[in-house]
Amino acid sequence: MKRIGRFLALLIISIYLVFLYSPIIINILGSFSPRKYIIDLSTPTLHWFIEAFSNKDVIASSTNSIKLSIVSSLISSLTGFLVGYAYVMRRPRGFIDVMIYVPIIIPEIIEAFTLAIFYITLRVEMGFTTVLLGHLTFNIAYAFVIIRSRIDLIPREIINVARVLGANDLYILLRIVLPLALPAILSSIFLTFALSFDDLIKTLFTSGPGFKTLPVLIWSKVGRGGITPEINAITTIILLISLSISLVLTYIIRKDLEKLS
Amino acid sequence: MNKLSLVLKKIFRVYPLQIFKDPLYLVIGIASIYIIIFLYLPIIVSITKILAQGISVDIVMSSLPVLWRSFVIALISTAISIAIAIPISYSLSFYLKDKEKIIVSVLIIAPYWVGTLLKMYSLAYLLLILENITNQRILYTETSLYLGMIYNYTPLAIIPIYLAMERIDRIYIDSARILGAKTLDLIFRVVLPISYPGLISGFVLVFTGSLGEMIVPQVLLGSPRYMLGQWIYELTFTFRRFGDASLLSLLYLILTLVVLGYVSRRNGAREIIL
Repeated sequence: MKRIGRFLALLIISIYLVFLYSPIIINILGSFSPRKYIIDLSTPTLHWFIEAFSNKDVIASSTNSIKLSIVSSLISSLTGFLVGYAYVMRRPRGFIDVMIYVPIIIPEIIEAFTLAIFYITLRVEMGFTTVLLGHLTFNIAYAFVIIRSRIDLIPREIINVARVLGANDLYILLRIVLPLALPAILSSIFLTFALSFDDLIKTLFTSGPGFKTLPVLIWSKVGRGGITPEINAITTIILLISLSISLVLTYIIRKDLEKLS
Repeated sequence: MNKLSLVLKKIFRVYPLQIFKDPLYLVIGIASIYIIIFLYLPIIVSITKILAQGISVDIVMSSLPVLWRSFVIALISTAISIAIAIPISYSLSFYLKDKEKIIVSVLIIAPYWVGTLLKMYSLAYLLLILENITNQRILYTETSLYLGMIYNYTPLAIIPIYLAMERIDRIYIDSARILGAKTLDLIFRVVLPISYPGLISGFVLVFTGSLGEMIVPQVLLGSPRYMLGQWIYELTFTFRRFGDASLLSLLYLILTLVVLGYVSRRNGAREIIL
């Protein structure tokens, strides 16, 4: 009885995982196939990648995307670390609910739309900075969540001992908390990078005509008849980067949380 | 001059000055101000737009079909997602070994961090390939739309339901088994009632998220102005009707906050994310 149950359980889960990963895997395989809309890997080719990245627009928007995600992930992870440390030391009431929970939980389209209206009202010219400022709100929240849970794992005794021995907050931050929280900070840098890099809605609403990221470029081409091997090649690269980042890092974070509980 | 410094001293002696004296509070304060300026202030500004720009009856009337369609699609996709999430969470929680649980849950959560556009594009590509094999129209139909919604949102239902099931004390399961409960009885009369909070948060997360969807209908149905998210975008950038768009997004926001407020009192915010 138990064995049949386990067999069924494994079957259900495998079917679901196949459903979840087959589009991604097929898309990746398809970008190496020389024929359009048919996956034929007898003679794999890099033709579509070369084709896609010989386009000026694609190169420009890739550069934009990379710049934006690097700046956004570094700023938000640094902020997430400092705020996470301050939060663990002081525990202000209501901070998490109002400042962290809300940006993560309200639908992105509302955030994006209201921010666009805000910029339009202020007559700000939209571009790199406006997009970056928008990305920071959700990235800081995610960075905080990731890094704070790691700082919470640090035994308070260590910090208390250091304090008794005369260390001030800054010293504790740099010599104790920073090294211990480093894995989480690195995870946060990679995850927020992926979030920024993949983001479409907020970027679309706040970017204006002059500044295009890779997802915005893809967005302008999809829709009916918009599925082309060149876009497959572009999405393959982004998928490989963000999926490997998220697989490795969710695993690391899960392991950490295991230790916590 | 002296008077001014006295006044300042008086003002800054009160509690808020602690913020300036304690660098840690300062850090929290700056981050909070940032979020207030770039999240809460824009919401307030867009609310003022409703009054400043006014609402046109025509646009409100033409929004109704979009709202209704979004509501129906969101409700159906949520129901299907939950129906899929229950057996998966149950299998995951009750039949897998601890090590397998970590691997499978990571595999399920990981795509959540990948952008929706990329996932939907991949799904559309897969459906196109299937079309070529089966010679049947799949892409750009209602079916492909629902497939996209389910693909995108089921993980969001699985996570809270699975976590709720993980918290069930295994003693209940054992006693039900000893008392002769069959697996189906166990699921419907023991496991699901106890994991009710997880079901509710799964429902809320999927429903509020899918209601304003913009990417899924665009990529998998290929028609613009089909769901609320697309409509807000069109109103803003094509018609430049900021007042009407603000009204719609305000209604959407209120709905989300009401439902989420109800849930967050029951469950921590945390489990929703990781």
